[in-house]
Amino acid sequence: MCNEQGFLSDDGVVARIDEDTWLCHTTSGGADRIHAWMEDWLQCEWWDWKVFTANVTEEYAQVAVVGPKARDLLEKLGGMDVSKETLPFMQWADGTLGGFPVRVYRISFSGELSYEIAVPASHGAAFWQACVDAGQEFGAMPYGTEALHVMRAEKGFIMIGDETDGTVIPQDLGLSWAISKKKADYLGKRGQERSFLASPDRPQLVGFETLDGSVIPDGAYIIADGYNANNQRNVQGRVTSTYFSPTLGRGIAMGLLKHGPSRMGETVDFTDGKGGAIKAKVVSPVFYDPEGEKQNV
Amino acid sequence: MSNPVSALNGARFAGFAQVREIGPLGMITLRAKPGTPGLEAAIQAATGCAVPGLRRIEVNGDKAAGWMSPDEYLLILPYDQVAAGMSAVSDALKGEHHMVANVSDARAVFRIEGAKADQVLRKLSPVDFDGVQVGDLRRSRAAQVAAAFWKDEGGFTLVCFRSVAAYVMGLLTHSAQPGSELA
Repeated sequence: MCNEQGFLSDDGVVARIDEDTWLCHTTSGGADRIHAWMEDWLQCEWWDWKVFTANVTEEYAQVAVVGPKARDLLEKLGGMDVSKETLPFMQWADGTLGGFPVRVYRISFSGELSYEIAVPASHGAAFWQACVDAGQEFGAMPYGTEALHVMRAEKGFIMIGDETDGTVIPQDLGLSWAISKKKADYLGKRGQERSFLASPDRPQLVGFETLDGSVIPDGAYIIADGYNANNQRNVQGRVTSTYFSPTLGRGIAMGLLKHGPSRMGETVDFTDGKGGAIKAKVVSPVFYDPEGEKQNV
Repeated sequence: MSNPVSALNGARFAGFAQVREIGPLGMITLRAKPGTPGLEAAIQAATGCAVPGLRRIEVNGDKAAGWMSPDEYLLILPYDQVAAGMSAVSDALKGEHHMVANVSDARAVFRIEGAKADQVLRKLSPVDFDGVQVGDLRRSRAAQVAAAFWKDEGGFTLVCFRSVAAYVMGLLTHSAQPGSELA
């Protein structure tokens, strides 16, 4: 979702529930803001549209069950059919699991076989415990947001607030495929047509691997040749997400680099915060399972 | 399958007023413009209540219908009757533009009871309580969070988002401390 200037404002999964109902997810912290944004437009500009909204964020407790054995765990809970044929990637279905009323989304932020399961919040703790109990034999364990951040970075999935900072447009992040060419208008379209937002010189998303396997520091800039009028070194990009990947055994990073996608394999210098430089190779931001084989099972 | 649980499992505090969490309570958000054909029948079917007027709540035993905005109503009924209630509302408004959403689990509900119950809320909310009569409903704030409340003979019922239940219980407890009465 973009603001009127064209910059990325928030993102999330949208599920079509019926002919005229959509369930729109946002980042957790963005729920109130995006609800207010929708109501602002409906009440002040599109007041003749027949649309109602409701913020139902807190109605649900949502549990992600992810990994190669995710389906095994859900089949052990029993209830609805969660097979690949009946519930393929990027579909949702209502049903029951372990006796709980659930809505199951086959979506993935961690990158592999993944089910995100919504239950009424009054049953949240009990459903979680049922998953923990059923998961014992599969070695299931809770994972936190830091683990999630690393996993999504290994897959090159962007995160609002990391890859975006209020100055980034979808086209900077390789998301041009998500921009409709057919729509007459959308919020942000005119903004994105302005010269600085339409420029091919804008820094674009790529991945980075340091030559020595170390982790690029947060906030590091990519150094360019020469100095500006203030006698500061020129920059040609910056890191947006940087982690140690235990899966790959090395540091990985995503960032924005001028003409990045056409510079694969090049070596660039990152600031190390101490006056020196860290060398890194420009690579695809999808470090792991680029074909999505582990996800579409 | 388990029984549904409320946010604080019925936490309570006895101060200069009685504070307790209640629920799980059935709550339905109904959005429709006033005068929509079938609206009266829908609210009647789910709660046995008339359409509430501006900032009022109609009560019918353990069911109620509250005015939340020019095009939003809050329907209250027992938790295990919500599915039937939503169905009844949808049937009555079939073909008309409306929205029905289950919000029973999205909120925490509190009772503040006693002769000085209003004083507990006077300290937390900018509402002018001198103007709040039995059957009135207000959407406002309780300190840092959104809250709605309505008045009956015994005191007030207050709803807030489930995620801030503990914070609100803390506010109500602190505000009801003996020795902190306003009068």
